[in-house]
Amino acid sequence: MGIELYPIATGKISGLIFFAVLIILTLYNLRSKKVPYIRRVPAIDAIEEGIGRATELGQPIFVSCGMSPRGVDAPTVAGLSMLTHSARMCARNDVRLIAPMGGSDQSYTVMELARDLVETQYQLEGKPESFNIDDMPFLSGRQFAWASAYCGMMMREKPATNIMVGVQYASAVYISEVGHEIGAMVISGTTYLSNIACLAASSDYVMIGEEMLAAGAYLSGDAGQLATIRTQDIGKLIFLAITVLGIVILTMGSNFVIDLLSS
Amino acid sequence: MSFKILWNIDRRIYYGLLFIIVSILLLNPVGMPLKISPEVKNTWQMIDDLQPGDFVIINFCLSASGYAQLQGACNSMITHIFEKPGVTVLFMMVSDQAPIMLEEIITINGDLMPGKTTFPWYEIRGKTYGEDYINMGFYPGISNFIAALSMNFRKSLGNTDWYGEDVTDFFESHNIQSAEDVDMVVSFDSDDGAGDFMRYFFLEYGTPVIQSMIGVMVANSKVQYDAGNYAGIVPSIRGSAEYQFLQNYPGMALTQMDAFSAVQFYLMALMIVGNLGYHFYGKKQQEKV
Amino acid sequence: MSILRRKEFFIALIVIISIFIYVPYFFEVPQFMSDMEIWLTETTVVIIAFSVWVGLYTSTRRELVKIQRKGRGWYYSGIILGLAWVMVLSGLVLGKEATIYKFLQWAFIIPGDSTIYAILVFYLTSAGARAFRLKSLESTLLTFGAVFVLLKQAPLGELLVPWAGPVAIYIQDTLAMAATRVFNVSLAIGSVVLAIRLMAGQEMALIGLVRRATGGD
Repeated sequence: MGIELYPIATGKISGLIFFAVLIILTLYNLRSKKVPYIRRVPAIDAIEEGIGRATELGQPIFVSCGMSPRGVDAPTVAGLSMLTHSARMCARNDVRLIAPMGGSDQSYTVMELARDLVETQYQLEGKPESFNIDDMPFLSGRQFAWASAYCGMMMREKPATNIMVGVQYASAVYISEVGHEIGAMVISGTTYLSNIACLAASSDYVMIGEEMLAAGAYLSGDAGQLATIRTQDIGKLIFLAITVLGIVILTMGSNFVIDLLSS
Repeated sequence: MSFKILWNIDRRIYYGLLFIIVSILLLNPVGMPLKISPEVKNTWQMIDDLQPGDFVIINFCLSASGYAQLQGACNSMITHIFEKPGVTVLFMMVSDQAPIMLEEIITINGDLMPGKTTFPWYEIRGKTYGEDYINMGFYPGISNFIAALSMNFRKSLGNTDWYGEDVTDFFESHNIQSAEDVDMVVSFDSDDGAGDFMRYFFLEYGTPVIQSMIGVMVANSKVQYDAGNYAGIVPSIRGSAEYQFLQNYPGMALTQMDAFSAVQFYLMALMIVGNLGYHFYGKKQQEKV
Repeated sequence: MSILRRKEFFIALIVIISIFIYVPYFFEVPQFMSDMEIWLTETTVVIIAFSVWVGLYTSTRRELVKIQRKGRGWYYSGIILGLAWVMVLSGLVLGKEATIYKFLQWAFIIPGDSTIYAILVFYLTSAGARAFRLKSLESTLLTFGAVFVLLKQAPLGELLVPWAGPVAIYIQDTLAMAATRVFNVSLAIGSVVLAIRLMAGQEMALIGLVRRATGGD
């Protein structure tokens, strides 16, 4: 039996408290000026390596920001952050960026956002003439039709690096293998848990779960945003503490923690 | 055997051998015994325990690629539900490819009602369209639609079905007004439709959710099942075959189990070959470099 | 400058809509807020439905330009446009029960989708041969775990190696389950923090868009 506290909805007290704690911590940390220590994420660092490789070889890079059927959700925002970062690096180094869009019904809305973001980066780098909208074609709203066309483009353009970050389904394995066949470096990242194992097996570098969600903050280099990654760690520590407490108290025969979380 | 050959095997040889093995076993199935997992048995029992008056939503979040894996589960589970007397069923889809797949399922398992010549007027296991079951068709948005369905059931569904027929009488006669009236949700998924039903139906109203999912989703779904969030799971083609066996429904999934076994063993053989080539040749080459 | 182009307008829109979604979820609210939440949720469904037309328009425009310029592979653009519009028009004019509409689905879309998905198994076998190497402790554990799960999944494996089943079930129900739950918790927290960063206007993606809308300031 949980606690009820009007006007909080039944069963939502603990969720509200945790959510409020996260909001306060995030907003507090956003104002932080001190750059916290964040461990290296090899996959994110590999993006610069990949673009450097493309510069040396004179080959393009391919970037995919995912194919979420839910439109612009959290993993897609992370994918767009990667795309934005890659676009800025490519503009700076005069590397051709190819970002085929598509894969789901909602890719249409994501595509417009992605094109705007990439064009902005080229303008900010002072190279608006380098932006080529034909390098961001919409291939298909169907996952496998998109993947087939993507692979075809890869076989023809022979990219040095392929970056796939966002909601990536089974087609990402397909693309990774084709990437390996042509000798490209493959960097991938997804929050779609079911696919992480396949991507880990087939990619050179992989971002697992929340590494991808933190990528935007990691790449910005901004102290405030990096500090929000610490918020995520604090949240996980709170969960860990509640879990350990729950195990101990449940073993002692009390349902206190379960009742608390059900409140 | 030269380990250099093992290290440098062309991928096309892998693909060719796989194609040959799978083709032979699909065309000439051996019929290996199949162990029934507790999850599928439990799911079968849950559906068997449906009572007269229960209202079941059958959701398809399934693309054509997923249908190839779950065809067995779709046919056997749907016919099982339809065999339960007094149970009413609502079909809905959040995948645009699903309506035509459902029509195939209905054609396979049902017969046209007397005096009718086309969809939706099919009778399946004694249940007639419009009285015992309806097909509301495709709704875009997946999570957004299921959230809307949970908040405003009748308005989100509308009063006309996929074929433009008025189904107000169906809802009124069975007194189905809100999401709380749903007694069970069965979702066939190649995306996480059952997850949304779990969030918006199970967590809000306690409605049990059963999921039949493609292979890559099994790990995550099993976690939800063990946590009690899903009432039952029928995982991938293996689960489809088990359900067909329990339901005594002859079908493709059972036939495909031989090829399925063969592919698993082939993958293990490739792992051994890859490791032999790596340890006795590839590793030395990399060290030289 | 028009208010619609200001960064503050975008952020205010996100915050206001978020309030109408989050607050009714956590609190007992007046009816108008619940109605607003339902209306916003239903409106997104409508927007999603209409966004398909955005894609169709964008694709058509792009393919027509490619055909006009006789760019590389322009004839494929013709095929894509032809098939897409035949499908759209047959569905709209003749209805979804029309023979040609169903033929296009059964002859092209469903077999194409299924076949490309089936090709994955070939790529997974070559990925498996490459990835499951006994190079380190972690990769060795991964490989042996994979072997046990494969043996348990295959009916023939369960027959030949009966003891692999309980080992695989243990791996799935304890080790894999713990890792999966950790992922789910981490992802949930990461998503919430990302959403808060978006609402605070600090997320790179939104900043990039807003800079263009405000003319680069």
